[in-house]
Amino acid sequence: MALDAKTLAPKKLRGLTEILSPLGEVNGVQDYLLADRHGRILARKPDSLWKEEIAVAWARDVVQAAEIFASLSPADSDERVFHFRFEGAVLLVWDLGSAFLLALCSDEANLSIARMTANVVKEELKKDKQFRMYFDRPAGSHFTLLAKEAVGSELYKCVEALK
Amino acid sequence: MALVGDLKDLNIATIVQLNCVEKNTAQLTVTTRKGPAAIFFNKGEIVDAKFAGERGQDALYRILSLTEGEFRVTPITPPEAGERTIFTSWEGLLLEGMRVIDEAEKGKTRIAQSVGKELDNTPEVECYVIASKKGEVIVTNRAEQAEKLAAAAVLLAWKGQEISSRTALGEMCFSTLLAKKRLTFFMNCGGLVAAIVAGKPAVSEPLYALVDNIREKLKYCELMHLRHEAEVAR
Repeated sequence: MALDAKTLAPKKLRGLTEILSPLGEVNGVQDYLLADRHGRILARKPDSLWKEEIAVAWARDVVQAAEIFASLSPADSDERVFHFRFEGAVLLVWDLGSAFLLALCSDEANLSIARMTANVVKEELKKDKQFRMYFDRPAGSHFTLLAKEAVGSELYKCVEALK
Repeated sequence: MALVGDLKDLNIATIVQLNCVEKNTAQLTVTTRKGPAAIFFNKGEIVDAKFAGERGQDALYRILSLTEGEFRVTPITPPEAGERTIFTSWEGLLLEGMRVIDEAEKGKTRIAQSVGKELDNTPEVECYVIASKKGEVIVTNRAEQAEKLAAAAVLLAWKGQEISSRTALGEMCFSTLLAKKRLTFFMNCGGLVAAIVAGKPAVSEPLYALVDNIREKLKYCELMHLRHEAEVAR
C-alpha cells in the first residue's frame, strides 16, 4: 500500500511495521497503528480497513482523547491504558510516553490475547534503537491538539478546567 | 433565502419564536445524531413537527430540548407544510415546551442523585461525578476533583462521538482509563456525562456490570420518559 507523507515515519523507523505485525495475527484485531503525540501515523497495518484520510483523522481523535486522559494521571505514573467501548468494537490504546499504540478489536476478539500481544510488541519497540532515539525526545506540553481553534470556544472551557 | 446556523449560536426557542412573530411559512430542519428534526410553520403558526419517529406535539417538545446541531430555515409553500398535526397556539406550545424541559432538568437531577446514592454504597468506587453536558456538576462525592473529572467526561463524550462517526463503530458506550491501579469510567447517557473512579479490583466484571446498570438508569433521563412521568403525576 502506498503511504503518503502524512503517515510516513522517518525512513529509519520503517521497520516499525514489522514490529507491529504480530497484532495482525490475533483473531478479532481488525486494525492497528502507531501514532506520535502530534497524531501523525508512524506505522499501520499493511491491509488497513481505513482509507488514508480516515486513519489520519482517527489517529488525531485518539491522540486528543489521550491528552484528556493524560491530564488525569501524572506523567510519571504507571503505564496508561485507555479503552473506548463502542456498540460493536473495542478500541485499545496504550500510552507509550511519546507515542500511542492503537488496536481496534471486534466484540469476538480475545482481549486478553490482544493485550498480551501488545505487551510483546511494546517490549520489541523499546528494544529498537531507532525507536528509542526517536521517542526519547521530550514529549512536549499537553493539550497540543486541544487548542481553542481545534475544539471551539465552548468546549475549550473544559480544556481549561483540565489544566 | 435559507437561514443556516448552529444551535450553539442561536437557541431553538428563539428560532421558533422568530418564525412565528414574522408569520413565516417555512420549514425548520435541525441535523441531529438521531436523524433530521423538522418543524413546519404556516403563516406563523406551528402546524407540524417530526423527529425520531414521533410526530406532532411530542416531537415538537423533543425538538425544543435540542441544544446541538446545524439548523436551516427554508421558505415553503403551504401544501409543503403537509397534514396539520398541531393546533395549539405557538405561545402556548413554547410555554408548555419550556415547562417540559424544566421538568426534564429536575428529573435529571433526581436520577443523578439516585445514581449517586447507589455509587456511595459501592465500596470499590472511590470518587464519582455526574454532570450536565456543559460540565456543570450535579452530584459528586469528591468536590475537589469534580470539576476536572466533569470536564474530562464532557470532552471524552465529544471525542467518542467524533471517533464513532468517522469510523462507523456505532455509538460509544463508555471509555476507561487504567492508570496508577485505578480504573476510571467515563460515559455519556441521557443528556448527562459521568465519571466513576474505582480501585482496580482483581476481577473487573462486577464493575463493568455496575457501569452498565448506571448507564441504563441515566438513559431514563431522556426527555420523553420524563414527560410521560410528568403527565402521569398530574
